[in-house]
Amino acid sequence: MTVQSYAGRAPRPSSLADVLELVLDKGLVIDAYVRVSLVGIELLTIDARIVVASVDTYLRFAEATNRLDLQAASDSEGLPQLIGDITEGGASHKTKGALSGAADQVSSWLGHDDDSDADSDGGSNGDNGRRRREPARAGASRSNGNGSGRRPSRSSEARPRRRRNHDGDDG
Amino acid sequence: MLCVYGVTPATHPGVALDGVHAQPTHVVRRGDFAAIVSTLDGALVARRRDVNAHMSVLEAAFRDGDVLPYQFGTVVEDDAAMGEVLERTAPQLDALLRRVSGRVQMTVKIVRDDDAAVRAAVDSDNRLRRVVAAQRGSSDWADRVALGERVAVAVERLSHRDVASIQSRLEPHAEEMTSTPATAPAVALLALLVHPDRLHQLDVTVAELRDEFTDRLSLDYAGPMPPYSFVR
Repeated sequence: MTVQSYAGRAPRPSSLADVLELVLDKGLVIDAYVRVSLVGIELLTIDARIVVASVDTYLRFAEATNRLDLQAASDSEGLPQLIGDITEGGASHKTKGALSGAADQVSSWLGHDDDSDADSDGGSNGDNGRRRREPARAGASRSNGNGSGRRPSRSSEARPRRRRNHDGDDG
Repeated sequence: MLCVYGVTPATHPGVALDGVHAQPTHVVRRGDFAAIVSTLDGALVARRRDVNAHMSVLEAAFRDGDVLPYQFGTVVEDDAAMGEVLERTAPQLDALLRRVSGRVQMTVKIVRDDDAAVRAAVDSDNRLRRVVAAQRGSSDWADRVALGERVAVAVERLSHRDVASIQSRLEPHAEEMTSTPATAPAVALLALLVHPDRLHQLDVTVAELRDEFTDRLSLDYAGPMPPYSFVR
């Protein structure tokens, strides 16, 4: 399913999650009402996961900074020369010239300048505002119980969204 | 119960392919439209096998003409109910078909290499670099979370700019484009509705973008596929 053509494109997205994004989250819907009630339930569970995932993500990013080689770029205006040779556990290579140990102190010198209000605005959300659907009768309904749901478009989060559960690993 | 795959113009030859639960597909025609359906053998669940079958039926239909994909998991009682849906939604189907007729959907998933993105974000921001230099390596949990959050915000900002710039480069080749927030490590899922004549130019642009962002982003490029993202 991931045969690459000359142009470096595959006929379909390569992962099941991406396929589900297309066939569960997108596509024509017969009965809008059923879908809306599903979405409400989904949003609650996904929101709860985001809170947990955020801290995980922050720790992951903090760890990534340990792997940075900050000597590569010059920073002449001067942190104290507290060069330690720290080996980070799990890091792929040794951090060279890491300033550490005195971290608390230095950070209190620098103060916590706070420019961390990322007011990213999330962008458009994929459905083009063309949701004029009438609720359907005629026995139309959906039978996948847990499948669908639009992810909440939270703006200022680091967006560590986790995929909803689906039992799609049987073949 | 019937599983519904998609709607085509009534002139479409149909699909000689089994669908979910390995059931043969058939066509329900009403007015200008035909729905591709198959009989359900039990509950319909988003299993890999059946999701793939759903897609394969739509892809087969797409090879022979226009198709409006229904969301996976859409079921109707029987042929009569399907006919009724076609009749009732005919104006909507007609408008959608006009919108996507002769077009293909391409998708671009933008995936971030976090380490590389952290490097790029820190390199481009002196103040952040000083903070990182001072605070990284702390064994204090709260410090690490605080630093990580700060870096995460910078990385998100960078990704936002990257995605916006990629979108602006792709957009001229598409008649419509949608963007959906994605699950990490992906940062955006773009869907483009493309006229086949523009496909080559789009291929070229994607290749260029891959080169330009190769340090921190990769682009998963897929299609042509039925217009899943352009039927609402």
